Amino acid sequence: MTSDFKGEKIILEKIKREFGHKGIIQRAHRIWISIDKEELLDWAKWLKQEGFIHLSAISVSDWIEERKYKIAYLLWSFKDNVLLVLTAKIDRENPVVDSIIPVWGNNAQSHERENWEFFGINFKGNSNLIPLFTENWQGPPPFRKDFNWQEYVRDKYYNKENERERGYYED
Amino acid sequence: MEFGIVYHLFKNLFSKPMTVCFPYESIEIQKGYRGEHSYDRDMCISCGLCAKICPDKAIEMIEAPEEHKGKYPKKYPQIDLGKCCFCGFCEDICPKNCLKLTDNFFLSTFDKNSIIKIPFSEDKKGN
Amino acid sequence: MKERGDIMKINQEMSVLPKSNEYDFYFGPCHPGSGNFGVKLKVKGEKIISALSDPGYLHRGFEKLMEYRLPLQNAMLSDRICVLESLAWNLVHAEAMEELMDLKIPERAKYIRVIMVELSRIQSHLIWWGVLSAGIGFDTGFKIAFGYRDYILDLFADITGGRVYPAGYICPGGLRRDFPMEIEEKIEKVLDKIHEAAKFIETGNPTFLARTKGIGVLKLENAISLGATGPVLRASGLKNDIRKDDPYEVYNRFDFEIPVREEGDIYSRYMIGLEEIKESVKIVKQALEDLPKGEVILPKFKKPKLNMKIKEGEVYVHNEIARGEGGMHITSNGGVRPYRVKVRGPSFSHMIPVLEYLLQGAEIADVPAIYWSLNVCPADLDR
Repeated sequence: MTSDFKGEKIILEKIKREFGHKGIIQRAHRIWISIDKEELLDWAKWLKQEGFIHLSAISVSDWIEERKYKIAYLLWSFKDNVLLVLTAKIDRENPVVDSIIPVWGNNAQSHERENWEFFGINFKGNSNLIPLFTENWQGPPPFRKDFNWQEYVRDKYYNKENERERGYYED
Repeated sequence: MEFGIVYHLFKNLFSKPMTVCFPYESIEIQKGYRGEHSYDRDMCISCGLCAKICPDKAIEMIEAPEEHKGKYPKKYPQIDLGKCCFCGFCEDICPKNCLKLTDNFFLSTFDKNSIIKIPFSEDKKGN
Repeated sequence: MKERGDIMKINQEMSVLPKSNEYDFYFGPCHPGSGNFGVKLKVKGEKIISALSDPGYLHRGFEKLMEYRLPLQNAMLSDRICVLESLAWNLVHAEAMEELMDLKIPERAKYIRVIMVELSRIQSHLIWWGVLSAGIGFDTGFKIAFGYRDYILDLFADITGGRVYPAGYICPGGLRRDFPMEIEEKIEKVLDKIHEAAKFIETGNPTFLARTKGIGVLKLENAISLGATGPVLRASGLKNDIRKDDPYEVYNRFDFEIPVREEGDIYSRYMIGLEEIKESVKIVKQALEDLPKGEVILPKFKKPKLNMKIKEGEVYVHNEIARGEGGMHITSNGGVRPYRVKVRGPSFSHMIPVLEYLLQGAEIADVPAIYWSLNVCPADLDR
């Protein structure tokens, strides 16, 4: 049974009329759009009205050669059964982006806390950024690609007298 | 007032329990269970693929001790059962089918030296 | 022997302390009723004023570990993300890798995958009923649930080689082994025993009803804005199921219903768990009738390979696992190992925003009942 992407094409038409932007249909039930970070709140309010009421996740990946973080918002609509992925690129040395708690409620709070803790992103407007998983961590944000976690673990936990640990730390 | 509980009490007095008395009897273990390794030393060609695919680095290729070096000149796998997760990738990738998983899971021990399986123990012929 | 002067001194000291009935209370990680997760409560008398979740005791770093291993080794890691439903996470990871590499797997493999995942859902719901009964105080229910769960674990030991961890049985490319001989009669016998267990769960004990009706109510607009998914959202009134809305594998060929309730309290979540067990039994029976013959794995994945490149791109896959919506967002830059893996567990939204909202205004004696009725798994949250 092949689908002709009818629901997805209607949404893309509406987006073109409102913002003049083109998105990509990757397969059935998936739309990918990439925007600039300044337009984030306008898109967020318009998409919430159109039926994208569930925020699945906020996912960040670190592209160290381009010196940018790529942040992706994954949104699901129960009415049309479509998943829309909104991606934006932000600067790696001073990452600041608007918080989307006014649009999607307290669900976004825990996702933003996790990304603040692991990547160091400052969400403007979120006043409750306290650590979620770590306790008394003083070093740089641990998921960045230039933090050498293997060296940290070797300095702190390697017991040279135990012969069985040698294969993990010296190769 | 519920009398159903008395009926259930009588029924359970005469029915078979769900468990068995373990050390004296046990349920049947089918073949294909992933337990301890068995290794055939004479068929091994020392390719080293089992050490490369192991996700926990539990297999290390070592050289034979002096008295066996004439017959076994290359390197052979030594398995650390404490690090192994019993996934079976080493069994799938071996090109000569000489490393297999048996169904022995009684591996707890108080003796630290028996955790590492050396391929050259004198009393066994290939295990 | 205490003198009269000492007693007068103690009484004087105690009357100087502030008279208050507000204190801090940890329903914490060293408690046998809470798993590996802590909640810090501020309590006045017997009522809770506010709650703060304290996760992080089970963080093993899966998202970083998966960047250093091949896709086949990641399939072995993926069943340790949540121990209570290992086969479901195996399937999420295998589907994500297959979509990145553009593979089409054989039909027999798809039917066997559906059978294994539905059996895993039944055993996960039996654990849910067991720990909910233990949280209320009904200890017999806990023992009976784990007794019936053992029949399904024996089936897993025959098929995959291990009772709890199948070690990447559902791997990218198909399955690692085929069904052994005569396993279909054994599956039918186990499904009859599950019918017996479902009849036991349905009895209407008045104590159980008094402790679960009208407690821990979650209305629909709060459920959506706090991010609930799966059975918790269905108990609040919204009809949704990823197996019907965004079908994967061969679910669009089977005939099953989606139970929905309106009240949103502990009793309705418990009844939805029971009805889902019955629907899963129906799906397994239909799949066993139509099982085709053939291969179970693509030819180029039969022997493990050490240097197979993954195409560049990114993909997001989500499945309806027993606890809600479980997803993986994988990015690759053309190498042998994935570049970034993000795991979205259903308990991330259930344990931090929803739990803190539901515990406000509740009594201390209701805390285990509300906590276990959300079907939480601390391992999903911490990864």
